[in-house]
Parts: sequence; C-alpha cells; structure tokens
Amino acid sequence: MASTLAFTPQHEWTAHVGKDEVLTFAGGERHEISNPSKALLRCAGSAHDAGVIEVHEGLSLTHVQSQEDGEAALSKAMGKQDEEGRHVGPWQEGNLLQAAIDAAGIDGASA
Amino acid sequence: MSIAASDLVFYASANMPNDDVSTSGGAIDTLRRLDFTKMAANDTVRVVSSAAGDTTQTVTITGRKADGSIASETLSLNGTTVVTSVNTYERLLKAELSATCVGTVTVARTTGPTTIRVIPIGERGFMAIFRQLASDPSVQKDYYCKGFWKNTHGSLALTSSVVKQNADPAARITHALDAANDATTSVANRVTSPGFTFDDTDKNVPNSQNLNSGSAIGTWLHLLLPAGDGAWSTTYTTELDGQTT
Repeated sequence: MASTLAFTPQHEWTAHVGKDEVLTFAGGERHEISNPSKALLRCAGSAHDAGVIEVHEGLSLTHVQSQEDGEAALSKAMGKQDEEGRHVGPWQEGNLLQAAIDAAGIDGASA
Repeated sequence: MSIAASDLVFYASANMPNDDVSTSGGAIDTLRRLDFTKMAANDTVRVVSSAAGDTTQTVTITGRKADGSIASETLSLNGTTVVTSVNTYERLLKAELSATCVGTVTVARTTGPTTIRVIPIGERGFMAIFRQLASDPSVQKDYYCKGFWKNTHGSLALTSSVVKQNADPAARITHALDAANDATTSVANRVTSPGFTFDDTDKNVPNSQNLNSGSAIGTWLHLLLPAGDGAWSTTYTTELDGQTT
C-alpha cells in the first residue's frame, strides 16, 4: 500500500471513506496524505479515473475497470436477441426504465 | 418486433471535455449516456443498486452546489442499501462508476426519491454534454461536443431516419450530423468547429437515411453563447425519428 497519497482536486472533492465518515479536500491545491487508508486510496483512484482529481503519487487503479473490459461486460449484459431482434439480457431492464423516465420527462427533459 | 423508442439510445462520444484544450468527439462510448436532465430543486443525491452484491464499485458524482460552485464526491456502493451524498446539488454534471455493476444503479434526488437517471447493467454512467463553461464578457463563445444516436435493435434498420431538435428552450444550441454513420470525427478541442453546417433544421441520417442495426450517427451540438450572455440552467432534447417494419 502506498505510504503517501498526493493529489490535486480540480474543485472541492469529498471522499466517503467509511460509514458516516467523509474527508473533504479543497480544489486547486496539492494535498499530501501520509499512510492513507485503503478506502481513501480507492476513492482517489476512482476520482482520478473520473477526471475530478489528479493523483501525483500513490495512484491505485486496481478496482477501476478498463474501457475494454467495460465494453465486454456491456456486451454480455445486453445478451442475446430474441427472435424479434430485441436484446434480452439484464441490460434491458435499466434501458427500459431509463426510456420510461425519458418519456415521462421526470425531473425535466432528457435526451 | 418493430424498433421501439427504447432501442434508440443517445450515447456519449469518447471525448467529452470539460475544458477548452482537450479533444472533443471521436468514436461512440457505449458505456456512458448523455443527459440533459435538470433537477427540479436543490437536493442531496442518493445512489443504490438493485443487486446486493454491488459493494466493490464506487460512484463519483460531480455537480454544482446551490452557490454555483462545482464539487465532486466519491461514494462506495453498498448494494441495495442507499448511499447519500453529503453535498446538496443544484444540478448534476456527471456520474461515473468505477466498474460495471451486476444490478441496475439508480441515481435519485433524496426528496421523493425522484429518479434522475438509471445506469443500466453493463454501463458506467452519464454526463451533461456541455460542462463547466461560460460566456465571455466581450466576445461570442462557440462550443462543439458530440453524442451518438445508436440503433441497438438486433436486426432491423431504422429507415427514413432523421435527427431533430425536439426542444431548445434557451435557443442556444444548433446541430449537425457526421457525414457517415459510425464516423469517429473529432476536433482538437471543444471551441473548434468540425466544419459542418449547424442550424435548427432536421438532419437526414447518412446511408440513404438508414440507421442499420448496431449503427450510430454522430450528432454534433453547437452551443453559441453571445458576448455577455447571462447564466443558463436549461435543457435540450434531441430526437431520432424513423420508420420500422
């Protein structure tokens, strides 16, 4: 495990590092944490991958899925097609839910 | 079975910058969708999966707080137990999972809870198309970003297909399509035009208006902010129309 975690958030960043435990860091300045917890390293890796912080030292991305692995997971989740050509995998459940939200215009217009 | 509205999905492109120097556009990103949803009121945001086993993923959400400042937070999913943001957001700009989930992930306002969006199994998140930009006091600003309308139906082509602007209440956005389906056109940054003709007219999909099964058409949006333009919190609705057997 990294002994130092150094990073700069683009803007204010909050890491949920435990139940009811959060750490908030100001944006635009470098932060150095000695002996960071596993939970903070994990949050920092996720936030780095999402583009909201830049980790300079101690980056851990072992839990972050690559684009290629994600696309493979999506293909599996979309599943095969029925005889009518509709995807029948578990992806469809969320896709239909989102389509219903879009159609209803819940909380505003959508794509 | 004919093509249904749910078979037509608006996805992000591979490069969706939130600055004026990074590449904009490129190939389709089928792991992330574009979102134009406004939150009806300021609220904290809750995230929950439909699968108890989704405990190893994180979700990083970014939004504007009530005072207009941008903030992000990274939460760990806790399966079917709700996790809630500490920040109160006026609008969400992006939500990104660290990995795909076994369950469908719902992102909602705490009040209600009113669902903002769901992230289908196998996808990684959603984002607003134009993020972290502003007008200039003295010159007009032009921004260009791209999404993709994809026909996810497994066998049928969407024929006579046309991309329309369904709603643009602020009258700030015009659109244009890539010259070919599944094109990977990009620009050096979001303030550089891809060179297409942007306007409000309906746009015929290339390939004789056939959007084949599994194909996608790159849909560029041009946001024009006049000099000294005021702040906007608005929506935009793009629409893909067509015929199906």
